[in-house]
Amino acid sequence: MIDLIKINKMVFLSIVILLLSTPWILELLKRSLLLSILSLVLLICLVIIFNKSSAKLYLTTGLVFLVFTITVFVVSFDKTIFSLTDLQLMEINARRSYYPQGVGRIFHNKISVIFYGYEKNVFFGLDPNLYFFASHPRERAGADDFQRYYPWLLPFLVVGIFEFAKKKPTVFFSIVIVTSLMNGFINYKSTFNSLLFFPLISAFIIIGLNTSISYVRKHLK
Amino acid sequence: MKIKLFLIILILTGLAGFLRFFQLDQIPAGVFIDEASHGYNAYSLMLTGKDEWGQPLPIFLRSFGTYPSSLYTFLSIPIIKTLDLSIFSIRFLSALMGIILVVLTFFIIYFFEGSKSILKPTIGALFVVIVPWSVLFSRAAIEANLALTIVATSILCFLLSLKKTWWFIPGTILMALSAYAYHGERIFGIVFLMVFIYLKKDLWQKHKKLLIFSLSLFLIIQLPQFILLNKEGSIRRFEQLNYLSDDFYENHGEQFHNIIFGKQLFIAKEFSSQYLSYFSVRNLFFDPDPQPVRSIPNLSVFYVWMIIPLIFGLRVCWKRRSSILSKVLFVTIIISPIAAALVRDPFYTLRTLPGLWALTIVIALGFVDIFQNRVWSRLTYIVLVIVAAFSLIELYSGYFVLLKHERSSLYGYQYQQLSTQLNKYSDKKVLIAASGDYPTYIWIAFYQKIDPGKMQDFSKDRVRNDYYGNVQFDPNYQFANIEIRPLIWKNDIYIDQIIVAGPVTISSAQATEHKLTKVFEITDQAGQVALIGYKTNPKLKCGKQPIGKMMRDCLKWQ
Repeated sequence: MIDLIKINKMVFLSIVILLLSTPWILELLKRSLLLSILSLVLLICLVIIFNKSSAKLYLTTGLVFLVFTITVFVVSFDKTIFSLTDLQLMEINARRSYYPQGVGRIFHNKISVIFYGYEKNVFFGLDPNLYFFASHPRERAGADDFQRYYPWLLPFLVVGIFEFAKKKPTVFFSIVIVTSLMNGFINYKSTFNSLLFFPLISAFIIIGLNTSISYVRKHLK
Repeated sequence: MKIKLFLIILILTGLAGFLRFFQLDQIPAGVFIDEASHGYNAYSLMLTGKDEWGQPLPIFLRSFGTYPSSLYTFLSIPIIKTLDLSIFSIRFLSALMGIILVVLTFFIIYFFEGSKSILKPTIGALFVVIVPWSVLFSRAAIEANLALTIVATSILCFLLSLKKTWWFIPGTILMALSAYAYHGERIFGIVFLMVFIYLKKDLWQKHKKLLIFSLSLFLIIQLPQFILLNKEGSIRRFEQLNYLSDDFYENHGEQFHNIIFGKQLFIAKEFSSQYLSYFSVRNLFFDPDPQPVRSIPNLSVFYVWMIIPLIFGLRVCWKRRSSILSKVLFVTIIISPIAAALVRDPFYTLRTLPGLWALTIVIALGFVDIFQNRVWSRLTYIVLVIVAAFSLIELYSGYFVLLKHERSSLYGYQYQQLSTQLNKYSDKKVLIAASGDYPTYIWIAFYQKIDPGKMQDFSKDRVRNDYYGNVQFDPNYQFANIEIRPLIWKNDIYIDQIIVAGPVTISSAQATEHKLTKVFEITDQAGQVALIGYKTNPKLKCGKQPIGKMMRDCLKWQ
């Protein structure tokens, strides 16, 4: 964090203002002040982790992530993935009939439907179009799709991901995997769908912007 | 070593052959309209030297006003001549191309990956054998699959040209020919060629004559396509689907209307979102192509477990980005979705097959990297067997069971069954009640093997001597006793005929009201009623003493 500020206070301030004015944080502030604060704290922790390593820092980040996740779960845990609708039951029965005797049950049962619903939430959260283009061109029926980040921030996200994965690969993959798996329990149609990714993506964008600005400044000298 | 190589390739082609040829004429059940069009036009060209519209040697097939590329159709002619027109014969070429792609993948990795390891090309080829997109598109008459194999062969030639430059000539010829196989390759071919020349510009500086000669050949082969660029037919699909028009901007770009350079920003946003969707984890590993005939139920283009080796593969290729194979893979992945991103169909997998193929190779390299030089390297083969088995089980469920049963009506299975019924009514008038502008006629033409001469006689006035310019399509047809058009209630129930319609077009209440007698019922593979055949009873409908309007209609049609 201190390295970021050292670059240029005005540049750093610009980055912060930019991210604070993204559509997502503005929407979040309207819907939940607590979640906004938690997500920003987590964002700061992640940016600091990029530059520093300490057990205390990892522990703090883990705790903040836990509190953040629990808070999101309290407001939008997807119970529907554990219960089957009549339509789903009809579909299971119909599909079982297509297989040889007894085989259909292996492929189509309550667990497979639950797992499919969970997978849907996970993978919908991993769609970059969701964040930069409101899921366009594959809008999700019934979902609260709005543009979460400005599209021109996308290249900086890519740079940020690349830098973070290169510098802290274990931390990077751990955070992405855990966030993705936790996101599977939040219905993609809920108001707070994919919110768990907000601190992560914002941190990557900040790092990407910082890296890009440093690179340009270095080559201009 | 050579025997080992031979055995591996034999096993891989055997497995590829089984997955691509097993029940090829039954799964998918029926043929999609594009397949029927390729098949019937190949049949027509074989018998008369002209397509269904009477055009000799079409560069693009007029088909139903979509103008697909024609190379697949032409290459199918000898197969149909040998095996007769059937579902198997029309899909044979695509299945064969799918097998050849496996062999090409093996050799590209083997010769150019750099390590001379036999494991990497084996796994690369194996992944192409089992990956969902390759199986799906190899088991249907898909011209894009032919284009992909031509592109892959061309890429192999380009790579070989780095050792012996004369290989550049066949590589260029093949890349030019790929544009006749699929529309997407008309852009991909040119861009790839330019980028490849740029990547090795130092080499081509020393072989200018060969370069100029090859590029001249490329342009000459492409000449017919360039000449037709001013004809609407050659850019028909783009015209129908692009987002560049003012109308589309007016209706969909509201948020940009009051911004300076609003239309340009709108187009940039559309292109960016479309392009990005081809790299979305959601689309590649979970949510398949939204068009059911281009996807497998519950299975996207890659298996879910392939996410992990993909990440490792990208890392490996980036680390070795100076190697020519990595460069070619990255270039293919990056430029493949460009053509697809210029139109508004979301995640249209057929238009980006070269990119999917390159990603499959990256996944294979990543898989090897996970295990190579690590503590758990001995688990490589065990894990490989487990993931391959798991994948094949998923493929069996999604493709060989669910797709066969749930998507049969999309593949016109009901018209295949109808064809058997129609033979019983050859002496009776038959009306196939088709709705909208869906080209139902092509299924009838394909399954009934309608005389191409008669088809051409019927169609020629519609083309009006402007094959590539007259793009409008009329879905109503008549072949001898069979008529295909929408049902006209006030007329058709008073004519002595068989009416074939879906359960939505004629309900059982309507059938009762209008004295229609059910004579046959056709179900799809899922057991749902798809088509019902009704015999009209005009005398019964009219009754002994019809009155008013009914009397006038009865008298008119009797």
